[in-house]
Amino acid sequence: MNALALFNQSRTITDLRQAGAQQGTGGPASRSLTDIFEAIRTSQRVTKPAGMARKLSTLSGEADLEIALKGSRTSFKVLVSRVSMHLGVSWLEKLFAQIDSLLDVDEWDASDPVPNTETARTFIRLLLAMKVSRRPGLGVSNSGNIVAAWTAGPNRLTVECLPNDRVRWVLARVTDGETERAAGDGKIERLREILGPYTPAVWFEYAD
Amino acid sequence: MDYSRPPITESVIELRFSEEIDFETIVKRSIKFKRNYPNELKNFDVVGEFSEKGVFGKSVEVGLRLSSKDELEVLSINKNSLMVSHLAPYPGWNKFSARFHRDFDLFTELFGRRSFTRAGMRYINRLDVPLGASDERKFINVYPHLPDFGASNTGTFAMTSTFELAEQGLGVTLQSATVESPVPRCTSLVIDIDVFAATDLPMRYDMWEGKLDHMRNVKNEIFERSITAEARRLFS
Repeated sequence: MNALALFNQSRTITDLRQAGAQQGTGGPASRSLTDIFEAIRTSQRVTKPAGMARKLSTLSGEADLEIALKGSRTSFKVLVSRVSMHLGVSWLEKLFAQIDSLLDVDEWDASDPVPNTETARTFIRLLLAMKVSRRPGLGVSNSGNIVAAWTAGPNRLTVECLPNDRVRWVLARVTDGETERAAGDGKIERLREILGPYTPAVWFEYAD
Repeated sequence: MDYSRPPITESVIELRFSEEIDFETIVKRSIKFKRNYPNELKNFDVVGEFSEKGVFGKSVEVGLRLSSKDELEVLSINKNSLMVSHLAPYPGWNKFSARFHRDFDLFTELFGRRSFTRAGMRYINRLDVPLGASDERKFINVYPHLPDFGASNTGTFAMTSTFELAEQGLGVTLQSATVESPVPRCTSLVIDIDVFAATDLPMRYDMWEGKLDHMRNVKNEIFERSITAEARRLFS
């Protein structure tokens, strides 16, 4: 007997016949957990998240670019929303304004790839891992990855956010009149340690 | 209890109709919602058929998903339901409830008074627990009970329980699970509370406010009893 059959059996044991218990209250952004339970409860019927059909179509023309950018903005904002309790409302509002500006169809070069969810996820995890107080400037690389840039006078740090928590970074740091430059790539969990000798507070925190 | 950083990732109020609305009517009459919800996507149901020849899927348009400019406020009008939801950060009950009633009033103006078969209120909470303190029993009171296999905690899990609160006239589906955390160096626990009523639904529209207030109080009671003092410290 497979797992699904076991769950179906237990459904008949538990009194789920009560009207209303068989399909739970919906929730647009929490499909994954819901789908698991709903698939168990109702077996084959799965509701496709809104917008998924659009991803299946090939992109052609301005209308499709607009749809792709809109989808990217939506995904990005929903990801930010999920960790908003750690960022604060003020941060959230400013970050949303940056996302709108970055992914504005009027400013977008149609030949550039539109950022996907993976790069946005890495960017958000970068902010949380580095405990960033100062918001970075945002851009998009030729590969369609989010690029975060912090500038404090001549001190610059630029981080390209790749899928799966990977980042590529380059910095310029002035100490005692000397400019030091460095670059590297790796996981975000190691970045704070790697940047340690360059006193990253100059980028991530507001000056007193 | 009010929290400074509530762990609610999504709050939902859903009313299910006794009679379906056809998709074309939804599209025609929803235009007036555009002022508050400029973004629009179609909702689909995918029905899969499994046979020896393979798996075949057919998508059917079932409604519209409208959202605010910041994407945090969502209104779904489907053939069989009206759903108002809010993504994090949670704005508080007063604002969320006021928005529901605003949209419910306009919906009634556009689609007429309808009767309902079910009212649901669902709150999805996610507790982000720093790694190293990941024994779920310190934070939540809803988890599977396992025999002693020698493990220090239950590891990953997902459980669901549906029960009736007869005195309250409500049903509850309570889910808890470990999920991949969006926050680095954390593990996350979800407490998903779906309070619903399938009987004694208000016939008069002005009685919905009281009904929803009651459901919200029950939901709060369930949440408070599902978490520990240690959990409250994470978001207070």
